[in-house]
Amino acid sequence: MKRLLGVALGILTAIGGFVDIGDLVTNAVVGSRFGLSLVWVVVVGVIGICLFAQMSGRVAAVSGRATFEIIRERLGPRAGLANLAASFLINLLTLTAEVGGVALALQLASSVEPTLWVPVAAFAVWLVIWRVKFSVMENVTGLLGLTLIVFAVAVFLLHPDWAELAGQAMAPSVPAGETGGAYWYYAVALFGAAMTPYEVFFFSSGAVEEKWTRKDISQSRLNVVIGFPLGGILSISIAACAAIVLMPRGIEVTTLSQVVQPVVEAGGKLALAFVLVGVVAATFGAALETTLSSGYTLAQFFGWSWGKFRRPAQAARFHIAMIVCLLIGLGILATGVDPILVTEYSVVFSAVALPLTYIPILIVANDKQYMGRDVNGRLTNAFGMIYLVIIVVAAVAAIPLMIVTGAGA
Amino acid sequence: MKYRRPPAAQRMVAAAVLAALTGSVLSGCATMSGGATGDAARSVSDAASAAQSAALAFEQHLGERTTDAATGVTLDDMLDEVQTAATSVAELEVSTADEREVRQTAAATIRECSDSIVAAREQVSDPGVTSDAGALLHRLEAAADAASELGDELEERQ
Repeated sequence: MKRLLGVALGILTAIGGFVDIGDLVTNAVVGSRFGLSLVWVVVVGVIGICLFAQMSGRVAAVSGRATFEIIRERLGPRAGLANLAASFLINLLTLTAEVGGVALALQLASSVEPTLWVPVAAFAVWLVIWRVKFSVMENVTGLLGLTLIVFAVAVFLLHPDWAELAGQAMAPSVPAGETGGAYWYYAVALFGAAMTPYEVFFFSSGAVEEKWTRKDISQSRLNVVIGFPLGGILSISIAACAAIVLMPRGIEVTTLSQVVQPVVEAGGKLALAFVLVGVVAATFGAALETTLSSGYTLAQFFGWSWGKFRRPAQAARFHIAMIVCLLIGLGILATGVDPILVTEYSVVFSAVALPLTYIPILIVANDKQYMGRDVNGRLTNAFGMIYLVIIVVAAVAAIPLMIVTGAGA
Repeated sequence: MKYRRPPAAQRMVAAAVLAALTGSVLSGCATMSGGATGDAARSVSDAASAAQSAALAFEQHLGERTTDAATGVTLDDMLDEVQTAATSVAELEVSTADEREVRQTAAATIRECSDSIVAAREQVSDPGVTSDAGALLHRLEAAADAASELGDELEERQ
């Protein structure tokens, strides 16, 4: 019974923790401009993140070490540095976007300017990382993030034309007034949002924090294989809400306040309360994860003592690195830059960095020296190779598409 | 565990980096198309989108389906969007009489969007300001529709 509850909790937190500011914004933008014609990208992205998250979780469970630590050792310092540079910079950008997202959500609830909320959000992130147990932190933000299910409920309350929605999803096409370039630019952005690099580094480092062993592999696989696709359904619901309410009115999403408008249309103030709790939980949870991921990647590359399971005094450089990253994010937001713009760029640059993140994971997961009998099976490797091609194509296409389309304008 | 660096793995990572960089370099540069008319069309369309969003927020406010805080933030956000569009139009470099006329028409249309959002914002902040909130909503929707039509017209003309 206890094990069953553990599995259920893992799945629920995986669903609630799946969506972050990148998913919220990108799905709403895409839904408002392209309807559901890019749903296939979410499906491809969710399968990809399931594949690589369970791979990196297995590496951590079998070896007892985080994936990034092994990448540094297995591929050498130069390849490790390339991996670190790409992942760390994207992570920093994502961290900035998440903290900004918390501030924007709190602004919607209170009318208080986001610039005043940003330091509060950053301090709260630091405090939770400093004081709260890893499992408590994960479970609370994940469970509160479940309130985003209100997006899925809103889809039904809005009584959409199901045939039209299905038509958009099943026979994807570029809507009138949009260009093929913009369509593919947002396809890459959605893919980057679904496969953000910090997710796998956090997942594998989290496995070490929670002291996973071989016997935890099946439970973690269940969390990923059930929880992430259900989280993906939340992403699709966000796009569907925008497609139903905003697209027919010619509204293109540029702010977080527009992302919640369809939910308000469907369920009024109660739905607004749910969605605000969900957005704060999702962005705050992701801010915790990205801050921790910054510390993890730096500490694991340089060989510092790391982990929340250690007292801060025993992992001083790990904690200082996270504080510095938070301060950098704070500094970026203090310039007055729009967090939504930071989010839009972070998901595209995530796509650029994908090969540097995922190719090494695939290599390590196939190394018998580390994995023994738990190396990737043929089927996993076949999917891994297919995704390798998709990842490289997305990475190569991201910047040219950004330039050609004026960042999807 | 013994440290080793397999050349094949390194080559894979290097090839991926090279491929990404090559793709980026080969992409070259591109600018937004359509000249002054195209730029005006995009700015007017942005203003139309913002005005539509403001109208939706105001309608939800009138129906008491949302909070004053959320409505106020949405209207402020949309006002920022419209003002950005107005600035873009004001900074347009025009070289012909036609383009000058386009700029003037676009600026006037965007100004009406801006004015109606400001009026709605005042109504939300202080409900005593305007007596006929329904008329204000109608004005917002009309401004959004006019901007949308102009945006489409300019889009076709470029």
